[in-house]
Amino acid sequence: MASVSLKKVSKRFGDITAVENLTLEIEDCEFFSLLGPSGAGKTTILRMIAGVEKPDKGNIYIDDIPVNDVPPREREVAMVFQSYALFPHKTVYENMAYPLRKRKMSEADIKRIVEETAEILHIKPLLERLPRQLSGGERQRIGLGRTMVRQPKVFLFDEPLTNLDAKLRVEMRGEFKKICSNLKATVIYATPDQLEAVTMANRIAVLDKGMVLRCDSPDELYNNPKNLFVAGFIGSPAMNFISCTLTEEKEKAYLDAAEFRYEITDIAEKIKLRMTGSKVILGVRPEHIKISRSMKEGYVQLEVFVLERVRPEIIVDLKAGEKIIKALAPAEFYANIGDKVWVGFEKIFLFDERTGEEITGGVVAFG
Amino acid sequence: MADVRLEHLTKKFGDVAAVNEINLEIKDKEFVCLLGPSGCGKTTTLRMIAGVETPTSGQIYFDEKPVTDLSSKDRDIAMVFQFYVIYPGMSPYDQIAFPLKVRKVPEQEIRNRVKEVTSLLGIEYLLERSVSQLTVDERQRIELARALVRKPQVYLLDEPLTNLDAKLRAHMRAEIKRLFKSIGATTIYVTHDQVEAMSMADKIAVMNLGVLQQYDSPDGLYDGPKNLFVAGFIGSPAMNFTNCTLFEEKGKAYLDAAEFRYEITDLAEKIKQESTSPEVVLGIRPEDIEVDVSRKRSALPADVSILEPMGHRAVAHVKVGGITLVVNVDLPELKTGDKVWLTFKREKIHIFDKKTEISII
Repeated sequence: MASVSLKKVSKRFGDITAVENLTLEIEDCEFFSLLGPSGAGKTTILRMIAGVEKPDKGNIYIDDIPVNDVPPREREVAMVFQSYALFPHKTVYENMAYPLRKRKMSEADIKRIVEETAEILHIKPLLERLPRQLSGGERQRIGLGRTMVRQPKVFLFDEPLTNLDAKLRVEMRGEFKKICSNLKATVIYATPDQLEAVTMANRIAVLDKGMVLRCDSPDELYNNPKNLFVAGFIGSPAMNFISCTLTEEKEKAYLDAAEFRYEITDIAEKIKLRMTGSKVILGVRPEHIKISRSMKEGYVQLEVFVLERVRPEIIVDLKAGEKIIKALAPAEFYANIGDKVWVGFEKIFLFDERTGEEITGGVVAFG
Repeated sequence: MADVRLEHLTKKFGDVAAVNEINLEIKDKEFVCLLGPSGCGKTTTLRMIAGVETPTSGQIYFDEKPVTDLSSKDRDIAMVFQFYVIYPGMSPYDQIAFPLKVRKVPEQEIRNRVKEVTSLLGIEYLLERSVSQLTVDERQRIELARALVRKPQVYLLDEPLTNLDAKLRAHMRAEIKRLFKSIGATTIYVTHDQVEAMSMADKIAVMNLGVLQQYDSPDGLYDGPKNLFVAGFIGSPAMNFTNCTLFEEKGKAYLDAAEFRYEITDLAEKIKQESTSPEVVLGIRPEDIEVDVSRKRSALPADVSILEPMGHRAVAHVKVGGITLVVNVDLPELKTGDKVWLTFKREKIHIFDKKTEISII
């Protein structure tokens, strides 16, 4: 159990800035996720907390004690990787006992700790098996078990589920969350998969190019993303973005997109205060789009590009100029390619095209 | 374009049947996915259709004409792979034109075809670039263009989206589906990803251990899986399965799952006729369980053990005694540890024979 903080930390590798002036406060026993595409700096941050990489600038604290000069093995942090190097010729029990043997712990203590850990991970029946007799998910749990027996204060996970197939990843996500909540330890979890981050973490730092763009709870990031990158990164299917020009005509204000025009008179004054030009990006989540067969007030007409019958809901791809907009619809919805439908937006976000900042100052909901 | 028919198609490697007695009919202009986990035989099947693998037994027909003994180049097919074959030192134009050049198509016709397909894919602008400047998805589009530049009888695609990131994959899915629909091509697409298959295919052939499990539309597979394997493979989060025993008392019939009992008097006769024993598996999808936060008559009490928020909804793992069920919920206030009441949507339950794993209801 420990809090971890990074204050104004920078790290360069040659000409490349991996982490830039980064400040993070991770609380004791928090499940904290580092989320970002590859190259965002996630692994470098973990390695600096673990002590295998030294920051060029700034300080790292564990429980408010500066640890920049503390060697890795004295930090009581443990790193779990996406590929778990288990000893192939040792049983599961021996694999898990290995870190304790190195510490010259008594056989009785080793047995107690390994068995307790195996209990938490539901791997007791596997203790006598060899790694090759295990499935990918089981091996993943053994890798985790070998880290847990050391009882570190902080667990660092580097994309632990990335190598598993889709089905197993969904299963392990829930299980992992449950296990971690029983660990009574601080967990820092790096992943490029937004679904893993939002389903598991208490808070998420969204990273891009070595910088923190947002640090907040999953709900806040989803409901109030504040900038284009976060908006496009959180949520699946991803938020749709449509380039528009703000135009005013006879005391009404519209967003002019290539294929449609959308009235926003009621919020025009407010957004104009924050705009740096006339170009805005309209952001709409697929789950906030309503499709109607007949014309409705405030709806715009678009063409059905294709239907994707991914259940339980289905995805309706709509053509708006060169853009494809993805909408979620109930499974009962059927349409042919090329059908014209009417489309309404229940909730929209607007971003300044140049700065990428959200300019409605929060959520705009209609109807 | 052509119909494709597989008849008792079998491929053995030593004693192992990688593909076992597959019968499949793919109609002209249909988009069919071969779907299954690794080792299910989907790629071997595709390779036999392509003519790069020889079947141990069985026949392959294109438009009722047997092609089993024809070499790959005489079958008039085009293939797209997961690893794009970009010929080094060739411009994007030459990459796309290559299949026509080797067939000695006149230069003018090649130019017209390349122009046609690049405009169809919206990649005319790539023709001016050098191959080394291309991004992963641009390379994938070049690969697609090279397949489309010919007008073969059948297009064969082997996991072409696997190397793209999640977002691009979601985008390309819709694009590929529309593309092959608009050119009206018979397409056979191999994938291990059920989301990809569900989103693109007219029909899906689900395979496991070399055997065809079910061949149906995406909705057909989702709503009416024929066995436990298909039921568990299609859909995410996966269908919940609970082992039960059929048992009767005072003129009523129940499924007894140890932790709870579920009345199914009206279905008892059918179950008794079609099952091999009273041991059955009750299957219900996460969205077909209604979740209430207040007590409800005849609802099942449960505790929320894990909550996975996903923006517009959440997935909850709930415990009924020792049984964990996964449910979709739309209750923003729900917390771990909360008590909830579950109701199964009656018309959505599935019942499978425990031993044969075949669907009864």
